[in-house]
Amino acid sequence: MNFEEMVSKLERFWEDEGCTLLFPYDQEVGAGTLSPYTFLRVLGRKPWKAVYVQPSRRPADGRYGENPNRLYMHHQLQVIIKPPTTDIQDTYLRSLYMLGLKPAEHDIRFVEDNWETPVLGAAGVGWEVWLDGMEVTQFTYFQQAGGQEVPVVAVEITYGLERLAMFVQEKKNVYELIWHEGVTYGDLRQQVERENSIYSFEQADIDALVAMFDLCERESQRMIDRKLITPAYEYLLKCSHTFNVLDARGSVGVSQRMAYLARVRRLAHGCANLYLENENHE
Amino acid sequence: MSDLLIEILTEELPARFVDNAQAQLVEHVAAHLDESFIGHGDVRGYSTPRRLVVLARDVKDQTAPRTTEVKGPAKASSFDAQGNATQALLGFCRGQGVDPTDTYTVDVGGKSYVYARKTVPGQKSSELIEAFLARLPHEVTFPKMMHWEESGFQFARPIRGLLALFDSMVLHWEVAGVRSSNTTYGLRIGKPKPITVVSPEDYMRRLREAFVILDPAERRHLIEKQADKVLKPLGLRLADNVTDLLDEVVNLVEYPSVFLGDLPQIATELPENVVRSVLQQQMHSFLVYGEDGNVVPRFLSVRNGLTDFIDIVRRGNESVANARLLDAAFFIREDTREPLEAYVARLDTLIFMDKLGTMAAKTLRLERLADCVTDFASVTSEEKATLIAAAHLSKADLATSMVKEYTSLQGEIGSVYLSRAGGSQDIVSAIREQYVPRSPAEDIPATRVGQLLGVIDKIDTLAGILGTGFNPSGSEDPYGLRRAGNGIVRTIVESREPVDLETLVTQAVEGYQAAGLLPHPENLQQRVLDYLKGRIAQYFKEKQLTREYTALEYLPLVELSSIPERIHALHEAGGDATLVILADSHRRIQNITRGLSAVTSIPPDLLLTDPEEVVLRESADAAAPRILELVAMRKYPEAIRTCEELAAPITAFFDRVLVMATDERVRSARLLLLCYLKYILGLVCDYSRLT
Repeated sequence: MNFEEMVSKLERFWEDEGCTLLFPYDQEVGAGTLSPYTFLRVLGRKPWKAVYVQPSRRPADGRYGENPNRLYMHHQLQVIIKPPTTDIQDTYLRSLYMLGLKPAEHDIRFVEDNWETPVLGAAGVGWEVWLDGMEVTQFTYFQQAGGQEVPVVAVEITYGLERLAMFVQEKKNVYELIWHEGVTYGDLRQQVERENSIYSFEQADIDALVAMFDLCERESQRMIDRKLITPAYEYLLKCSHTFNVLDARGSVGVSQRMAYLARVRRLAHGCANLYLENENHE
Repeated sequence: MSDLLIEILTEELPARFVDNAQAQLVEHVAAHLDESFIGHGDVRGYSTPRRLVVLARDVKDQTAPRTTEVKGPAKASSFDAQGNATQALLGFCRGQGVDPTDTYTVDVGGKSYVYARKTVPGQKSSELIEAFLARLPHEVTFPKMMHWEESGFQFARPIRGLLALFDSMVLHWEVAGVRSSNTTYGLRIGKPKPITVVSPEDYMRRLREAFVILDPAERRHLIEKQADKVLKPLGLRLADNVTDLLDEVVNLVEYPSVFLGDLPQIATELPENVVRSVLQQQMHSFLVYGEDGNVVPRFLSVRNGLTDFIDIVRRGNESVANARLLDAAFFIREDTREPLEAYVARLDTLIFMDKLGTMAAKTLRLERLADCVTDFASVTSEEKATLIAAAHLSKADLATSMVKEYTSLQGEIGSVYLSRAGGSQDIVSAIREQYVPRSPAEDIPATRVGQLLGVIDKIDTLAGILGTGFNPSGSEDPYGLRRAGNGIVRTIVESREPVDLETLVTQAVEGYQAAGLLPHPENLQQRVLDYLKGRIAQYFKEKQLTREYTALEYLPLVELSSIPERIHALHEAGGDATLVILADSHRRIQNITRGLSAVTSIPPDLLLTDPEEVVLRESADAAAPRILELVAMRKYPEAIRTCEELAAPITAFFDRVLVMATDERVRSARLLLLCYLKYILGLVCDYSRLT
C-alpha cells in the first residue's frame, strides 16, 4: 500500500466514524496540536470531531535528508474527538486492522506517555502506541488547555504517518517509501529536507528572524486587543515557527529562551481566553 | 456463604501504578466488609494492565443481628419539669425505633445523656456490599489521575467495564457512567468479544481461556521460566539485577510470551550502559550476557500475547532496536568529534533549575566547593587536583546529544567520552560516580573523589532548591531532594569519610548568594542542615538503630561518619552492667548541671576536699586525655571502657557528697567538676539516652 493510499484510507475511516475531514492548516506548525482545529477546538464545551493531515515542522530535527528516521518536516494524521466515545481505543485499533494489519500477528501496546506543552498551557494523559515495538501513534486525553482544566475532555489521536508507512511497506529508510506508484518519498522530500536543514542550521538570518518574531508578536497582540481570534492566532503560529528556527540555529540562550516561550504563552492564553469568551456569548 | 468478585476493567493503566492500586483495592474491600460486619474469608487481589480485581472468599450472605448503643439528646432537654418526655426525646426514639421507656441515661464528661440500646437486625450482605462498591473506586488514588467523562470522576485511566458477582448474583454498581454486569473481555486480539461469566470460579477459568493471566506473580514466574528455557541452552543469561525492569514488564502484559531477538553488531562496540538504556528504557527489553559475562548482541523481550506469529513481532522489535542503536552510534560519533571540555562552554545554554541559573553557573559553584571540601576532608593534594578537575567536567555531558536523548545516562556518557579520549582514570571514575547511589539498593561511589564529588553536587542542589522557598514536607518529592539527602548521608556514613557538612553547606549557600541567586535565603544554612539531620535520623531508623542514634544525635555533623562505629562499640558494651550505671550517672550529672555549659578543663586548685570528690577529680584528669586520644583514633570500644572506669567514682561521689552545699564556693566547685565530667563523657556518647 503506497503512502497516499494509506493516508486516504485513514481519512475515510475516520470520516465514517463521523469526523469532518479537513485540509491541513496552511501555516507552519510544530505539531498537529498547534493547528487551530485542535488548539482552539478543544477549549470550551462544544462537541468537535475532525480528522486532518498536518505537515509538522521541527527545524531542530532536520538531518539534511541523510538520516533514515529523522526529518525536518514529517506528516501527522490528527484525529480529535470531543467528547471521546467509550470504545475509542477499539475504534483506533480497527483503523490499524483496516490497513491490513492482522491482530494475531502483531503486538500492539498502549504504553504510558503523558504529554505537556507548557507554551500552550496544554497537558494530556495517555499513551504512545507500540506496534511490535515501534511507536506509531500518540494517544492523548486532553486535561488542560489554555492554562485551564478542560470542562469537556477531547481525545487526540496522532498517527506518525512516516513511521506507520515504514511499518506497512516494510522499509527501513523513510526516503524509500513509495508515495505513489513510481514516486518515492525521497523524490518528493529529500531535496526539501536538505535545503531546509541548511537554512535552519546555517543560513537563517538571526537578526531578521528576531525582528520578525517581534513584528508577529506585536501584530498578534494587536489582534487580541481587537478581539479577532483568527488573525491573532495565525500570527502566534508565525512567532512559534520563527522561534523554532532561531532555536535550531543555536542562537537562543537559556534566559532568552524562557523569555521567548513566555511571550508565546502569553499570546496563547490571550487567544484561548478570547475563544472561550466568544463561546460563552453564544 | 458466597464468593465476591469485582473487576474494574480499564484502558491500559501505567505499569508503575498497577501493584499499588491492587493493594489499595484489597485493603479497602477488606475494611468495608469488616466495617459492615460481614463475615468473610480470604480477600485477595489480582491485576493486569487492563483490570483490577478483588476476590473475597466465603463471604457470609447475611450479617448477624447485633445490639448497639446510640447516644441521644442531653437528659436536661429530654424531660420537662414534670418528668415527661420532650419532643427532642420522642423524635430521637422515633428515629431509632425504640420506646422512650426503654432508654437510659449515661454520664458523659459530667453531663447526662439519654441512650437507647437497639437491636440491628441481620442484613443482606449483597445490599451492604452494593453500598460500599459505589464509594470504592473513589477511594483508590494514583500518583497521576485524569478525568474523561462529564461527571469529572478521576482515575488513572478511563474505566470501561465493571463486573461485580456475589456467587452468581450480579451486584448493582455504577461509576463514571459505567454500569456493572457479568461480562468482561479477554486479551485484545482483534474484534473484542464479550465474555459472560456465571460465577467467580467461572470468571477465573474463562479469563485464562481468553489469554489473561490474572495473577502478577504467575506472570512473573512464566516470564522467568520462559526466559530460562530460551537462554539456558545457548549458554546465555540476564543481568543479576533486573528486578525493576521485570516488575514493569509483568504489568505491561496480560499474557507473556518471551522471545529472543538479534541486535546489530554495533551493539558490541557501544558502551554497555548505552545499549542497556536503549533496550530498557525505550523498549522495556533485557540485555543478554554470555557465559564469560560479556554482552552478546541479543536481547530478550516479552510480547503481550501468544507465541503464534511471534517471528513477525521479533522482526519488528529487531528493526526498532537496530534503528535506535544506529541513532545512538550516530550521536556518539557526532559528540566525540570534540573533546568533553568543549561541552563545558555550552553549559550556559542549559538551565539547572528554574530560578537557579545555568549549568555553567553550577559547574563554577562545584569547582569552588571542590576547592574547600579538601580543606577538611583527609585528601591528598593529588586527590584535590583530581576533584577540582572532575568538578569542572562533571556536567559537560549534559550538553551532548547523547545525554539530551538519554537523560539517565548523565555521568556515564561524560566518563565514556573522557575515557575514549584517554583522560585520567580517576576523573573518569569520579564523573561516572557523581550521581550514585540512585537507589537504596545501589552502592555508594567506590573512589574517594567520586564520593566527594557526589556529596558536593547534592549539597549544592539541596541548598538551591530549599533556597527557592520550596517546602519539602509531604510525600511528594518532585525535585528528588530526599534522594539527594539520602545520597549524602549514605556516602558519608558508609565511606567513613569525615566531611564537615556545616562548613560545606555554608559555602554552598554563599556560592549562590555571590551570584545573586536564591529568592529565599532566609535562615537557609539551618534549613539545609535540619533537612540533612532529618535524613540522618531516617537512615538510622531504617536500620532500626533509633535508640542508639538518639544517644548520638547531639554530636556535631562533622562526626556523622563516626556514628556507625560508635553504635557498634555501644552494642559491644551493651552487656556491661557498668554501662547501665554509667547511663544513670550521666543523667544525674546532666540534671544537676542543667543550664551550665560543659567545660574542657578545671583549674588545679579547685576547692575539692572530700575524699570522694578528690578521687573523682583524679580519675577524670586521668581519663580525659586518654578518651580524647582514643576518640581521635576512632577507638570507641576502648573509649567507652575508659568512661566506664568513671562509673564507680561518680557513684561514690553522688552517694557521699552533697553537691548543693550551702557554702557557695564548695557548691560551685562541685558543679564545675560535674561540668568537666559532662564534657568528658560527651566525647563519646550521651549515655543518659541509652536507658
